[in-house]
Amino acid sequence: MNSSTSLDSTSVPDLILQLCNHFAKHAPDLSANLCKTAFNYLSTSSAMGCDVPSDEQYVVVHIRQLLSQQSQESAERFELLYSNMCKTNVLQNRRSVLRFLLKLAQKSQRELKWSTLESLDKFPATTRPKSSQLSLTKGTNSQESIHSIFQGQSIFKSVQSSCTNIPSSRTTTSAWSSRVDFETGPSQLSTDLNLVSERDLLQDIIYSFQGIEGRYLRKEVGGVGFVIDPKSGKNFTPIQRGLVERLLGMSFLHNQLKQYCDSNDEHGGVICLALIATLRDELSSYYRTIALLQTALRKNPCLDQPQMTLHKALVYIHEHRVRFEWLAYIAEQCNEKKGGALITAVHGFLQHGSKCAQEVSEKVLTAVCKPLYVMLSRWLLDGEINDPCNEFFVEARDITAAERLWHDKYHVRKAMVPSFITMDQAKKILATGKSINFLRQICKDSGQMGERDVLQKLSRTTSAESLFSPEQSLEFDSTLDKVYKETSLRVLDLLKNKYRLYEHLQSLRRYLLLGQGDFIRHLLELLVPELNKPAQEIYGHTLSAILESAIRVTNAQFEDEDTLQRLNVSFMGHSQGDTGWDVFSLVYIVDGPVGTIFQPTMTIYQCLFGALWKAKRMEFVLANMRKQQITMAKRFRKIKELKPVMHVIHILTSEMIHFLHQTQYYFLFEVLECSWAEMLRRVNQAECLDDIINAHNIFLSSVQCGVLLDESSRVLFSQLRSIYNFILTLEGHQEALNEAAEKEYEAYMQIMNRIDGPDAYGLTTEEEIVAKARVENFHQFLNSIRTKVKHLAQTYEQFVKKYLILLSSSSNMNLQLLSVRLSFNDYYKII
Amino acid sequence: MPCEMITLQLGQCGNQIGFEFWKRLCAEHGINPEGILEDFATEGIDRKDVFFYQADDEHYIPRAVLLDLEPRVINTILNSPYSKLYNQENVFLSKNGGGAGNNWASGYSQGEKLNEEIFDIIDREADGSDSLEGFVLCHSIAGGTGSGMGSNILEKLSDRFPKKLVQTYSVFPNLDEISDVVVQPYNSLLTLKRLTESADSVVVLDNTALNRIAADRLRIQNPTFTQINSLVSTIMSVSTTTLRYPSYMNNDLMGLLAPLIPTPRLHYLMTGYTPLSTDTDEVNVRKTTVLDVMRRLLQPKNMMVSTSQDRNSQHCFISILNIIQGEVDPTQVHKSLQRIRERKLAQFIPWGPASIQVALSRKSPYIQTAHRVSGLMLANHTNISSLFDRALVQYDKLRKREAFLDQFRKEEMFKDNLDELDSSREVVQDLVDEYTAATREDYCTWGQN
Repeated sequence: MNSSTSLDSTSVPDLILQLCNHFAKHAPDLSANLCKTAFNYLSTSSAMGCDVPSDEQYVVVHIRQLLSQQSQESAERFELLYSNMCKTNVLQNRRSVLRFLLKLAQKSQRELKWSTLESLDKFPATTRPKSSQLSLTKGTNSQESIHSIFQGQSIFKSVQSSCTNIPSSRTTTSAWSSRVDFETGPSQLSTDLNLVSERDLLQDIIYSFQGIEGRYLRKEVGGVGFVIDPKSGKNFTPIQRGLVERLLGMSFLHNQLKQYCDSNDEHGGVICLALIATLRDELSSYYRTIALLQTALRKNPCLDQPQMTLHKALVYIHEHRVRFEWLAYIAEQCNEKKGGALITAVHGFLQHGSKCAQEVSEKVLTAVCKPLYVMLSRWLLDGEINDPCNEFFVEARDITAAERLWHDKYHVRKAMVPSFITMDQAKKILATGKSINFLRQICKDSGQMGERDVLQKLSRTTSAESLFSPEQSLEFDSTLDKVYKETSLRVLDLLKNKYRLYEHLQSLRRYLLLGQGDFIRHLLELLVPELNKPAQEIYGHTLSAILESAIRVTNAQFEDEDTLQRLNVSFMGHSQGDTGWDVFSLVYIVDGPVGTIFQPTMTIYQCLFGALWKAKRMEFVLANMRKQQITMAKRFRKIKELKPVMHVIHILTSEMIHFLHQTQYYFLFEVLECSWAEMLRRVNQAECLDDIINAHNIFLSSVQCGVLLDESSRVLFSQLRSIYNFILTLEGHQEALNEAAEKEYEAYMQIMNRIDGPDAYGLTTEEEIVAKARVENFHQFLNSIRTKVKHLAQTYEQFVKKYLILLSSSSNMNLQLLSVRLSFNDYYKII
Repeated sequence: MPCEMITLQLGQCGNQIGFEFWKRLCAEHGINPEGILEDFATEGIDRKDVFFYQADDEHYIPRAVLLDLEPRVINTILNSPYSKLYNQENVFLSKNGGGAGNNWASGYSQGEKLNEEIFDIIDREADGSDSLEGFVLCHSIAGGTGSGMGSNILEKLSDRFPKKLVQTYSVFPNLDEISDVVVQPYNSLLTLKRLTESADSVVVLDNTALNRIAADRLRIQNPTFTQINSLVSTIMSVSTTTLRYPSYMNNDLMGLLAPLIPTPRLHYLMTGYTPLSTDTDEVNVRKTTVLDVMRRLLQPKNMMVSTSQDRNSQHCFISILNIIQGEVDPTQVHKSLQRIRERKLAQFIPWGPASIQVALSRKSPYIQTAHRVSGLMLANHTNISSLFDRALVQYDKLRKREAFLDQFRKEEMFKDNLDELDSSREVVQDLVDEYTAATREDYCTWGQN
């Protein structure tokens, strides 16, 4: 143990005492304890020294092992410090110092508290600033530092090339030139000048490892790797050539990684940057190895250290090489990719059979997931997206309309969903953040979200790894699920309770889908005179006034004020010849958060209203015709000729009424009510707003389909419209007949009064002729009406038959059954 | 409120069933016997205004006019807890109080004399409604007041309110027991003429069938008037349920009747109701499905009209409306209809499309029933003519003997001749003929020559 002899400026016990005081921070107990330990240690050290070999490299390997057991970080730190140490000549007895430290470490592992060891660590660090000319710092500066190493080496190279044979003067104070002394020695060992010396070659290799051309190794033209310079390389022995070629693989990998880092540095986005940072990290650890290699190369071979060889170099870099291979492969896969896609690419390697590939990819994945995790947490917690490079798998678009926020503003970028997040999860994630935004922006709800704490806790306690590591991702998934459900429930709760979702649904059913029968009937009755007018003569205020009065006298009056205020009339744009019937519509205004559900469907509601209203009007027309028929039958009982004509009309009217009532029943009960019940079931079970929107849309489309408004029912619907038109035609005929009969009746009564009345005086011949002509005229009119109605009945039947055939040949089972219902007693014999 | 109905109840029978009807409506709408809305009646889905109106003090008052020529039944009503329900001005009792002596002619002529007084009341009621849809008349066709005065009022109503509908709930006499009213066949025939010509829809309440149902289905020997009347009030209230609980369809009387009555004269409707239960019958509760209900409604034994079953006849349904109440899934309705069609459980007319109309209606939330689903059938069946046939046969028997006509001859109408009887017979015969014609395919061209 000769370490203590070189430090003779002060007495060793004093120094130890000082050291102990320093460590113990002047706590006398601890300091005394430390001193005891130290002296104990020193006294037994010679015994311990036996099992520590004197070879410096060996000691270093020991230290490395020890440190790497503890943590990767401290091992790396040691490498740094050690390389610094090698560079200086301040410590003359490096080997002994190292041995001392190793022993201390071994000892402390057994006896001392870790904190003490940590503070011991500072020991060499305090000496560093004095001794080191090239201060190496970790992190982002490492590259710079490495760069300065390059510079140093190139200086060295020039020195070496200029004075290969001249022993350099010892007066040079530079640390580099002082080494040259050691290194020039072995170079002279190469006896054959034609042969390339191992040292030179190694140096070139080391250059190439860092992407620098040397004497023998040139950059591959158009490639990233190095090739042996054909001119100077011809002197290589085959073994050398083989080894060099193997070593050059490393240079290729290095260059490739470096290239990837440099080219993606600026426009890569944060996730890409995370990848680059990891690569750089790997690179700097690689540079450290290179530095070690360089040091080993320069070392004086005489000092019982074996000669550095190409083989050794292979061993030195072996580990890096394997890692770099995978890194390069990963980098290649990630090229041109960003964000989630990049993560997916990296994640693919995690399943690789190679242990190394797994390790490497896990490291990379952990790094690249970090930014994603941050984005994800922010999105899930606050619904915010900070993603300038479009890397996150949720995208926000520039949508300002409040109703469209839910539908259009956010969506999942499929390409950016990392492979370890399922589409289902992605949708949940989307929905959660979307819900938060919906609550904040649309519902103006600032209340605390439940489960938020859980999520916050989760994001505090777990790291990015929880996204992909199988054990932790379960927890992530369940928390995500919980948060998703909670947030969705909050939205549903607000919609159902605060924003009266059910009430709105009811109102839409009652008013736009004609559920409030008494109101609709009365409104229709009041509107008839107005809507018979041409469209351009109708004024909104008249209709509004009618709406008001219909509300006042029917059960609609018990509806709450809010609902009634939303109810209004509207008329669509009209073209020439349209009557009020063609343009009239009821509208129900929904705004606020529920608007998200209803606003986009309002046009469908208008269509449905149109179809149902039309059917309702026909029902009303027919009921009124029937009423008129009853009145006519009573009033014109005396006009016997009227009976046969009326009978024909009665029969056709019944036919139409039957058709219409069955159709109405089908529309309203089988289509509407069934779909409604189904929707309510779905809405009650809904877990999120999307479920409700979905249920509502399914409801609407099934109703649309049921009332023949869908694309496939076009022909059916136009057939139905024609049938409706026949009803209106018949109404016209009956109206004309009623008028004529009324006239005839009055004339007849007049004549009867003249004949039978109290002051009867009979008819003059002239009057009789006039009366006869009148009666004949009337009979003619009756005949013409009868022919018209009979003709109408025929055409009507044809149309109904065709309609029924269309229905029964429809692929929709319900429509087939409707056809059966319309011809329940097989009156229309369709095959 | 549009589509109001004014109820006129005439004579002993009419007032009795009317009384039961109002009791039932009050219960369904949550109105107490004094016309005050019960505290629990807050649902607000019903339309009380069809049959009631509100007085200044928010009391609900029936749109009912109570008419009789003798005070007995009306006095019972006025001494009941419901006395305050009615508008006292609407209660009309003939001053002589002698009744019509079960004589149509007497009732008719007294009605004629009291015409102005009666129509003062009716006009006042009509003016008090926003948009009157029609009248409901409750009476029996066999007695004196309900048939005679009822006939007179029917004629006058269609003159004065030609555009209003007139629906009657007409009680037909029990043919299983020997009536103490010997002139019943005359009374019936004369009333039938008015029902055919002046009423727009007649719901036939056949005492024969009602008594049979009470005996056979409800196992009540010698059923009381109250028990029979509770059956009647059920039919009356359920048949108006779509008016009182508005939904998608059949929210006015015309909408209800239009699909049932194809031509103006074929307006006699049969009814059927299931499941039947009385207070004593609560044990006998079965699980009822829509199909059960609809199938049972088609069984003759559940019909409240006793029609002779003639196997060879071509009699058939002209139309059917089933008002189904309770927890009903519309898809079940459809399945039931399919089943009925497949099994040909109902025979329909050959001259036009016909089927079973279904109206799904809400139930009063204030009345608890043991049954999940219940149904009322309103049907237009050609076999109703057998009832008229029977009336004709009985009339002919009496008429051949010129029996019991003295009382009739005393009245103005029959002073000179019995033409009115003949013309009534003609009208009823025509009606029977038309119903018979309606069983044939050529009904479309009936009366065309």
